[in-house]
Amino acid sequence: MTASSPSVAPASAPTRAPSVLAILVVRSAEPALRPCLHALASQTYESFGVLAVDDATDDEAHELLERALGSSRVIRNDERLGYARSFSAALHQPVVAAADHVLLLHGDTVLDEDAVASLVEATSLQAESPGIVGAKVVDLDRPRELRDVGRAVDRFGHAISPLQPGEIDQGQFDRILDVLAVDGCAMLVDRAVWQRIGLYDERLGVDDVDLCWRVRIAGWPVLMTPRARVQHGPEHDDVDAEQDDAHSDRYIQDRNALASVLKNYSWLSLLWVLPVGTLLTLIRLLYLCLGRRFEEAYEHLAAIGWNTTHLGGTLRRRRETQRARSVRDHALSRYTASAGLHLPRWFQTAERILEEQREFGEEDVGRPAAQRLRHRTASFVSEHPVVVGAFVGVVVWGFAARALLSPNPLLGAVLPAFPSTPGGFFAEMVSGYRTTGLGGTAAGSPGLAALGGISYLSLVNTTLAQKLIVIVGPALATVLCYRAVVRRTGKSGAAVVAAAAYASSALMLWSVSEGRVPQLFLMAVMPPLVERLEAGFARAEPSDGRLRFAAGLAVTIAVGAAFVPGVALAVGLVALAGLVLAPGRIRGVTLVAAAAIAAAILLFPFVPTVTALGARGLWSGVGQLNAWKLVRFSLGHAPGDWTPALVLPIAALLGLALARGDRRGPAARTAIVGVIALGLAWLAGAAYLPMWASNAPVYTTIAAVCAAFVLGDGLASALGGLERTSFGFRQIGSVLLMAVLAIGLFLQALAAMAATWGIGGPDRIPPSWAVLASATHGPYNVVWLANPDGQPFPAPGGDPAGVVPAGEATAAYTITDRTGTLAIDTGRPLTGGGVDPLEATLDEILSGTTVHGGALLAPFGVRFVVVPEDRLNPTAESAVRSQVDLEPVPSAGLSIWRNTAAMPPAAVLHADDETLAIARTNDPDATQRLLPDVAGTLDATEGGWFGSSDGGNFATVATAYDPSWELVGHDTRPERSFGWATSFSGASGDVQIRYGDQFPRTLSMWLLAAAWAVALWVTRKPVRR
Amino acid sequence: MPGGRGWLAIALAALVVVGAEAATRLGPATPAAATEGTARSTTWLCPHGGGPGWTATIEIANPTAATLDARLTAYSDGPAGKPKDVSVPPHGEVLQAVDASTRAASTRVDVFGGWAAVGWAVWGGAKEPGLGAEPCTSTPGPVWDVVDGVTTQRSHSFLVVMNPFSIDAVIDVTLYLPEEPPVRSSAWTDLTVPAGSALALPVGSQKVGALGQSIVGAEVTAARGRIAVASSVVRDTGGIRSSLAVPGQAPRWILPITGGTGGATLSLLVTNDTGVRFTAQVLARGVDASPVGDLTDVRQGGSSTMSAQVPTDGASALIVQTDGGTVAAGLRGAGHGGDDAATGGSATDAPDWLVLPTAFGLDPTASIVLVNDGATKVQATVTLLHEGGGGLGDVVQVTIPAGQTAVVPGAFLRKDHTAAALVQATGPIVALGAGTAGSGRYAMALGVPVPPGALPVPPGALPDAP
Repeated sequence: MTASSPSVAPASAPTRAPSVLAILVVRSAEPALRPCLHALASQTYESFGVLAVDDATDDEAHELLERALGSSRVIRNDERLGYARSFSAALHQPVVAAADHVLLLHGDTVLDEDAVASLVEATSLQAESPGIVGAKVVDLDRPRELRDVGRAVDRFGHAISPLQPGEIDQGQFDRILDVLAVDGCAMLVDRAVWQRIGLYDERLGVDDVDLCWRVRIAGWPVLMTPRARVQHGPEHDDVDAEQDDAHSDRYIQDRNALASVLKNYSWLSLLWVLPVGTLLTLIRLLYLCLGRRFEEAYEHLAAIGWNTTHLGGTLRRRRETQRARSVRDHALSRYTASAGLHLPRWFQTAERILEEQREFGEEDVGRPAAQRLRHRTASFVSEHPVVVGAFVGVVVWGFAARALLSPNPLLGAVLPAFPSTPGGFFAEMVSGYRTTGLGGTAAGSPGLAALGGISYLSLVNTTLAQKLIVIVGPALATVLCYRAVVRRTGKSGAAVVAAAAYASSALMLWSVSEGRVPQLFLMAVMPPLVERLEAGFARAEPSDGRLRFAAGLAVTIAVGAAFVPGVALAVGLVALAGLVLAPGRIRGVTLVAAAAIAAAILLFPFVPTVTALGARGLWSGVGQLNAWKLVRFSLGHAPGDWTPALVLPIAALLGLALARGDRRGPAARTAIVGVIALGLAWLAGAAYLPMWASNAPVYTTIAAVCAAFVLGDGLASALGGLERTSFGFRQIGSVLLMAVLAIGLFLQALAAMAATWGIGGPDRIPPSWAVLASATHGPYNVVWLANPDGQPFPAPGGDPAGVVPAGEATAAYTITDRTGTLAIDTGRPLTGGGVDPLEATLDEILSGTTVHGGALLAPFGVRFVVVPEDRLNPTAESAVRSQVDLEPVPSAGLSIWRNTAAMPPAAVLHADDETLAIARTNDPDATQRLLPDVAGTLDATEGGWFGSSDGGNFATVATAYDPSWELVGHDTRPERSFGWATSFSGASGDVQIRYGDQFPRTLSMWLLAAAWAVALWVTRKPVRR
Repeated sequence: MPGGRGWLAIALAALVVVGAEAATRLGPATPAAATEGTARSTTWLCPHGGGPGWTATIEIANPTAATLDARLTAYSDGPAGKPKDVSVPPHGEVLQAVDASTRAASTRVDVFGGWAAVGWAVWGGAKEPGLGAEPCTSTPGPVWDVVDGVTTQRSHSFLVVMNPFSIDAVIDVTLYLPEEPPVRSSAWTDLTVPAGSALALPVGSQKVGALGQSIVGAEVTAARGRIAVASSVVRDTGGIRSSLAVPGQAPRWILPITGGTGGATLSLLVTNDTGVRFTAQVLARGVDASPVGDLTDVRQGGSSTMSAQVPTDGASALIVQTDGGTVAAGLRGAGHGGDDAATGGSATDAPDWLVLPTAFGLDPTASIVLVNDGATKVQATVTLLHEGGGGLGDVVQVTIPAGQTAVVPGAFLRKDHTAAALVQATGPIVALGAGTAGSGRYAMALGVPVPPGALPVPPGALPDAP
């Protein structure tokens, strides 16, 4: 948009005043027909006439028009045609042909008395006569409020106005503007224009942008003159076609924008506009879907659909437009704005902030520099806490995460290995059998769909997805914590500080350092979950209705439980606290119960996986035995795991003491829940709770969230108004709280920025493991053993999958394949028929009962037993050392034993009668005598295993027995081997083992998708119409 | 703090502090005991050695009420033999002949289904007449010490090193001599014992350079892998003896002896550089413990061996106690016919022992000595476990006074000289069996301590002695 001075002399003086015919299209008498007609009658411009089109009005409009203009100047449509068609029809009237200009006028506009004169004046101010001149449009009811001063478009045809919503007319646009488009409510069109290119594309209604754009392409300028002021009625009255009433504004804008692009750009421009537009459309659709704005996404798609079905008409009109072209696209680029990102709005915000600072500067004139700086900083922070918080957060986290930004894949700690392609997540999720661990038919977590989706969005790169989750996860958790505290307190400043404390907590830094992908999701989900749960028990009814509330809560629970099933314990704890302490007991319990049931439906294939083996899925082997460290929310050694991490709990206690008014009750309840959760976290880690109730990370996360919430309550109570109360604890406590937060958050930020994370490059893998892994071939499993001290195994062992109680020799264990812990096992505990036999085997070994542990481990495909150095009690280590078929492998950092009796996880054996007899029993005493004679190894393939028998006769697979397994090409039925595994006798030649019962899982996945679709639809964000 | 939740905050803070302190004191929950397993097994390694014309018998004694399975695999410096499975009847034993045709001959015995004691007895045949016996070891480890070698003329000492496992073992052998520095031969440094094989290392080899020594101690260290080691001594004048190396040194050794002529030679191996001070005592039947002549508070230099003649009378035991340093010990008893016997003794005592038979051949005589080095009297019940089983009928009770030894009545043992004897005592003891046969063939074998829980029937539940 450019400006030109109205004082510029005309290129040539007119010999006569050009005639102007106003074509007034009236759809109803209200809201402004009378003043409109009165204003037309009052115009100072002499060579001016009016032709009215009664667009099938059904009120007194026609009578008013005839009375004002005479019946000869009023045309009546028998049916409503809309503005565009009415204008078009009016052009065929003989009287129009005589006019030099037509003034397209809506019936709800009121012109200033010199408006027409000003419009005409503008046509002669420049050397090049404009094709269209528009007016400064203000609101009919609020005449100081600007509605239009001309518009630009983005690269994709969407109109962009320089106006802020509700912007007041202070003369800031009072100059003639050279624009791309003007408002069509009062638009002066040169005769040459409508004779050459016509008026509106009637399919699109009154699309001013499209019309003006075409005028521009044909070589005419489009101007807005502020001297012509027009008051305009409600915007929705501009909607043209009847069918458009059913659609949102967004639909109309998108439809018209795409049609304009297709018509108005040259082919060369379309070559880049269409691909980029398609990409942006996909991103936008994704954004809308993630934000549950499904209707909006649908309307966007519908707009595309309309353009597809109307492509013929569009191309026809395109030919006409391009035939009239006299200006290249790039000549119009100055009228287009950057697409999609709305950078101008950001700059406008920045401009506003700078303006405020300038005003502060004016106030501070005369003050000392230090005082000025302090004042301006304080005012800036208090006025824009989110901007400041986001800026500081981005700087701190950007610096802290720099080590994670290398081009190499992240390794180390408990970071799970992602599949090589995003499809790996979906393949595991829909697979009828489990491809990891000890097999079985336990379904994968629905969270795999999210991981797969993120991987696809990460340029189909799972390595990038892994990094994104680790780096963006904390930011997402912080934002969600902020939003939860804002919902709770209504104070963005308090929420920013509470979220910062949450983000810099030892728990968050530990989660990042260890590469705990599920825990990062948990940390993101827990703040909204706790907030929603507490809202359910609040005195007030949920603002969005019970159904929507319960559905939203169910989705939140399901998302959390998909990654950390122990979220169910959090729901139970908070609900129990609500039942005892909160005012809305009955409603809360009802809502939570409904949400829990709905969440179970949203996870239904996964629920049996979680509840198997005594609800082992709720358990976590991670814990903190040092209660003092737990008080600062530290579950393990990580950056920020030091005394300053006490900032969150201490600040929360101060916040509780400072909470006032209606924040007292929620703060007290939340604080109590937090302390109980902290106690449960220790009890879980110290093995005092039953297995199903033991999940220290979940309890600790609840405690951290509660602390952040209570801190938010306290800050919301403490911030502001201190000067209005008498000096006392509130002042002292507030100062103390600020001091604690300032020092604590600074030190935690420092710790994060100076952190050496547990994850990183290849050096995060113990060298001995790396050497071992690179020196061994073929598939195999690894059993990891360590003390049950709540700490994970060294990379890539991951977290314990269980604990084998064996007195002094008690040990935590897990079983992995040669890759280590896997992302496709996210949220999924070790399940299946092989778990009990594996634990029994480990019990035999650790208790010293057997010395043939290798043979006992052979059916599980275990080739190595790995123990972290100094992490296994002497009794257990001695028991492992005494195994005659577990040979120690020289290694540093890890104690590794190779199983000399091992066989691959899927193998074909030369089996004599004795071997067959051993395989067919469920007796470890028999199994320990096994001397497997491996003939061939079967490799995992899609749907099963395949390989050559190499003369073997007995195929055995370390996957829990299921009768649905098939030996392709043979009638042999599967047999249960070693009491739990799957085997086939009589294998020969090429051996292909396939799972034959995929359909139920496929069906359940479709049902699951439907359930999620329903849930997301119920919780969708409605579109504005 | 009017209007606030200050008191609640203080109360919660106090609760957290008290809770954390209580948690620190309480500690984690005591883990549940192990579930009783069903896959009981033990592996015994028997580096018995052999030679031309030798025969070896592996003795497997089953003190439990269940039939056990044993898998015997022979090893030598050639390929491993094919495993052979045998069943061991409840409360019985199996005597299984195995290959002993080479010096390196060794046998691995895997016992499944329960616990059994395993030992060996070797018979040198006509060319190298003599009898040797020792228990096998169930604790393969990286370091073994034995002090029984002799490199004087007409004596041939071998270190039998067996590696029945699946990876090669790499060993270093150090020989310790009475008055000379240790010998570390390059030939025996980084020596590979291939997986699934055994080696016999001639201690008197010219290459090693430890000739003419009356007592040679050896330490065999496996830098990689696990091994079992025994000493096998053959004398041209007749007589063989076996001595199982011990997998670790100790400050106190109990070395029983019985069945010989009464003379004994005590040997000590000190592998540290500083030396030790030690005292030897003799325990015997019917008399209190007495010091051994000039072996009271004697200093033995570092990295050396010593041997001393010790007068013993019948069933006795030597107690070697150092001032804190650790040593390996050996006791060699002289037989009536020139054959002698040896034992490495026991560093620990236990209430239950299984004494394997040592008396084979013509006119065999078995004897068992029980050593009580404690301060209270111990009552022991001895039960014979016959070859082929047959129940627990033959039982005798023996009282062992404090600080003395006792013998199992000869008449009782004569009921079945090839039977194993299960000794179940009311207190800690050490048991050793000895046997003589033919023209003065003589062997000793330390009993095998029965691990806790291996026996289904506690001692008090055994039937009374007839």
